[in-house]
Amino acid sequence: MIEGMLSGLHLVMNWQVLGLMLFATFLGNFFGAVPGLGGNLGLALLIPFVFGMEPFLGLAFLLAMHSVVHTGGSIPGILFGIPGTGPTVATIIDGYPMTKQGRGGEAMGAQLAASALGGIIGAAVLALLIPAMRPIAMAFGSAEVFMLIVFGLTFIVVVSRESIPKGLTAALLGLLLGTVGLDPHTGVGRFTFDQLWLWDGLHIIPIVLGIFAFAEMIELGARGGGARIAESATELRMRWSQLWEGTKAVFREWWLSLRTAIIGTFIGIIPGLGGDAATWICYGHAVQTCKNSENFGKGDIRGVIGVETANNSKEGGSLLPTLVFGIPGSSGMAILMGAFLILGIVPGPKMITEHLDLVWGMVWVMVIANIIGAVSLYPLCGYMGKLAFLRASLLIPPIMVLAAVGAFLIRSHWQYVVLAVLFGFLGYGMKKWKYPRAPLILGFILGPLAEDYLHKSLGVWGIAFLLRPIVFILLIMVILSLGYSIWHAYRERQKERRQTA
Amino acid sequence: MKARGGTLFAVALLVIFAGGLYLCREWSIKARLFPLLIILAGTALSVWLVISEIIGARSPEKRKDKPKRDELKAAFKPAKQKITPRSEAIMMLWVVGFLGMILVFGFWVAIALFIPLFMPLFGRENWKIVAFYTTGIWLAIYLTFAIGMKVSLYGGIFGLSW
Repeated sequence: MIEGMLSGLHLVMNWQVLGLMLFATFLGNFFGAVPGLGGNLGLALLIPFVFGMEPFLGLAFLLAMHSVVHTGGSIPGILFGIPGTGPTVATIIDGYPMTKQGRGGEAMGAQLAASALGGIIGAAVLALLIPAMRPIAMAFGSAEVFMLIVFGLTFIVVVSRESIPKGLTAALLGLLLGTVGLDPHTGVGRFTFDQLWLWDGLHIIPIVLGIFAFAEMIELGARGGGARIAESATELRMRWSQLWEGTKAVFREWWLSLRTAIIGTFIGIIPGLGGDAATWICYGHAVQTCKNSENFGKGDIRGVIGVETANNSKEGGSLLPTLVFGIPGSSGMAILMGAFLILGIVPGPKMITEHLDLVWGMVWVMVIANIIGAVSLYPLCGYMGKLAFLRASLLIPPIMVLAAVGAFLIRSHWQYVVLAVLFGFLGYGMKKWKYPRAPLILGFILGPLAEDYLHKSLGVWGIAFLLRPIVFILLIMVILSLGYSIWHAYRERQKERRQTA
Repeated sequence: MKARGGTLFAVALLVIFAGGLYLCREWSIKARLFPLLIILAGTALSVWLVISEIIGARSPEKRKDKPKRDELKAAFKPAKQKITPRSEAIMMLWVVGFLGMILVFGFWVAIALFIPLFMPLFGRENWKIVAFYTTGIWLAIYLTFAIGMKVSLYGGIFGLSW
């Protein structure tokens, strides 16, 4: 373990890696601070830049960017009540009232320190779990991994409780898109329409660029050319004394910080649960467990701390299933996994047996990126908050150009640019009619894996693979979680009916 | 009954899944096993969505009264400017226009054309910002990809690439 840790540190302690990480954290904060952009879009736009890079260099660049997105994402939330990214919505509940009370600097200080601490704890938990995961990964054969994928997908259903059919349909569409191309088992061309460029299957990047980049730009543009994401700014004065006061509060509330960071990490481990769930669960936990909870929602600094530690710690957690089983813990990790494959890094059990230095390198990247990301924002947070006031006409051109170039560069096919635009329309439709987009990405990544493991399992054990002990336990968990979601949805509907009656 | 966008979107999804069912009928059992499982589930769910969208369209007042699941979360959503079908169509046309420029003239000309057209016409930006932006983005893409990474971007049907 110590050897792996040191070799990972050796990989990171290189001026080229550190320089790129510094740039990446700036970009990550930017993508987080501009509402509507976010980490997924940032990752997809930056992937073309890692072509030809050394694997670890490219990996450090993307992971560092992704690790700090929510650090920057909370700034417009706290200062103006506009969430930069989805999971930072919960920060506003207490962060924005603090700004209105003239304690914006305190909230910002707490947010930055809690984000950094959460990121470090998430990476530390990941580091501690890696050795423990080794025997589990070794015990997991094709049947177990298949059922783990099914289990991960059912969590998509659990989190799409607002509309189970919509969440499931999006996941199934992703799974179906994953089957496009030559079937690796039979060589049959599936949904290829006699097009040579479809034989290798679809690539995740044009899909992500479409359903996130183009879709977001269509929405932003549809609001009007001069539309700003926010309409008015208040006078901002970040006093260092306030920032310091907020920072100290994170360490004064160390027990809450530790708890929410650990909860966030474990939520991150469960594929499909995502950042929104982590932050809302941790906010709820803070409200339920803290003394004098009547101030929550009115500007209680503990509300900011509880959410922000979870926000960054969950990234460490979601890296675990991605690296160990090749099952991404979130849509961001699904895109990152696509980038790993481009760089020649294949996530899966072999990562912790043959490339332990890379895994430890990633842990260090997360730790260092979270520190750089937070520290660099102390003097800049007031200015970063103003990014929420960028006009749409200034944002749309560079993002559309980068998205089109990125889609083309994946395989140098112009058809991929057309595909990205088509997925842009699909993504816009999904956003407009409230179909969650993350399940589509997860389904797309997990589909080919699930099919491969299903065929392998059926080939070795036949249908009896379902009776293998771990598979059977996972199957029971799948049935229970599905049953619970359906029962919960039914109960909610009954409650609504009673309320309307 | 007035057809709503949500219903049409659900119908489009149904068509995708049903189309998949038609396309996979001639594949071997092994090749179609997994897609077929997805397609059958997807078709069933899409039918469910179409029906629930139609029922929802018939009783809009019922939907309006429906309490939000997470009031707290909803309360903190930022106020957004109104999106109209016209503004949506205009923006989609800009996207399609940009795609058309890429396909016909290639990336280099498309970037140089799209930005100076989009910014003043769509965003009413002044010419100084437009000139700065166009030059800046074009140069950034050129220096990063053509010079730095030595990749050749698509030159369109006229092959305008270097």
